Amino acid sequence: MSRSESKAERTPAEWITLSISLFILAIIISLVGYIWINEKKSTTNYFCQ
Amino acid sequence: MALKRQQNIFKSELNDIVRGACGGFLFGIPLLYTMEVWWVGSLVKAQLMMSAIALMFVVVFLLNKTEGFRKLQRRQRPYEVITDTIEAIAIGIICSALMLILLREITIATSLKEAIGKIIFESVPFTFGVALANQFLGESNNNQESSHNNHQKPSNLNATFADLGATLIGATVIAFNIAPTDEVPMIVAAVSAPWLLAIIAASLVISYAIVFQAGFSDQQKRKQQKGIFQRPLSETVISYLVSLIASAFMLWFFHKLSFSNPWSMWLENTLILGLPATIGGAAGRLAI
Repeated sequence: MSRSESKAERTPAEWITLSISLFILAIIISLVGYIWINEKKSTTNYFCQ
Repeated sequence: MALKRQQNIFKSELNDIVRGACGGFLFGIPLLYTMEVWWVGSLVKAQLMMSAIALMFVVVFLLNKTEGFRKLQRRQRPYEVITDTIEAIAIGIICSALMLILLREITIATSLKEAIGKIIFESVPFTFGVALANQFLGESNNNQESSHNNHQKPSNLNATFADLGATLIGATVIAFNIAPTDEVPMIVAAVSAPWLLAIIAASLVISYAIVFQAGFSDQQKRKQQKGIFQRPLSETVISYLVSLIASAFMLWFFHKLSFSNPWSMWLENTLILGLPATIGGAAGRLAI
């Protein structure tokens, strides 16, 4: 089968890869969100002083 | 029978991931040795990190629509390109994070914000490389045709010299841009002996994976090649040594090392530049 041909359905191995990938992406986005919130807090404190 | 099929499914998935990671290394390694990217990562605000992830997603989505890192493409449903994009980004993030840890740009002392910034900005070229993996050195019909038509096999010595030459050219193409910069001494100052051993191991593993595992070219043909050192393991080790010699020469050529320097300085600098040189050398051997 050539590279351009399509595969019919997702195998269990591919589901595992997708789950792990989603997990990694979720961690990164959560950490960036956490840093963003902290940045906002510190900026607000600076202006309050 | 069912167990064998299951094993094949996992093996082919692993091969796809290795192919993606190798594409990432080929594309991302020059920017890994660029201190400006480390600085951007260290100083960037969270908003910009989020924008970088969003922009990376869009570009990788478009690249995955045409190429991608999987041998068998799944483009029957629209969401399948999205899942491939998520996987490509995850592979890019993991590879760049591991390389930054290996080069001591991320340590326990690094703050969370700085570490995440560096990982996200370094993962951009890695992720593009993952999405372009099939484009790099992929199996081409021309190569297959020419290999079928080519009845005259080169002699063992000629094949060995061809491999050595290709390794030298590939190593020079990648490492020549890095050798005159200040990043190599900066990384040398940050790494200790155990990390140098880890860098040697990583160089050998990545080189082996690019040539014999990623499926970029006719792997069976390469494994069957006969020559003085043309067995996968010996070829990987000898090519690594050739890349190290090329790295040492480049560092001397750009006055980063001189004969008055101690041997330990030569060794450390050469091993650090040897990592990108080996990756270039592996790509060079695939190109022949």
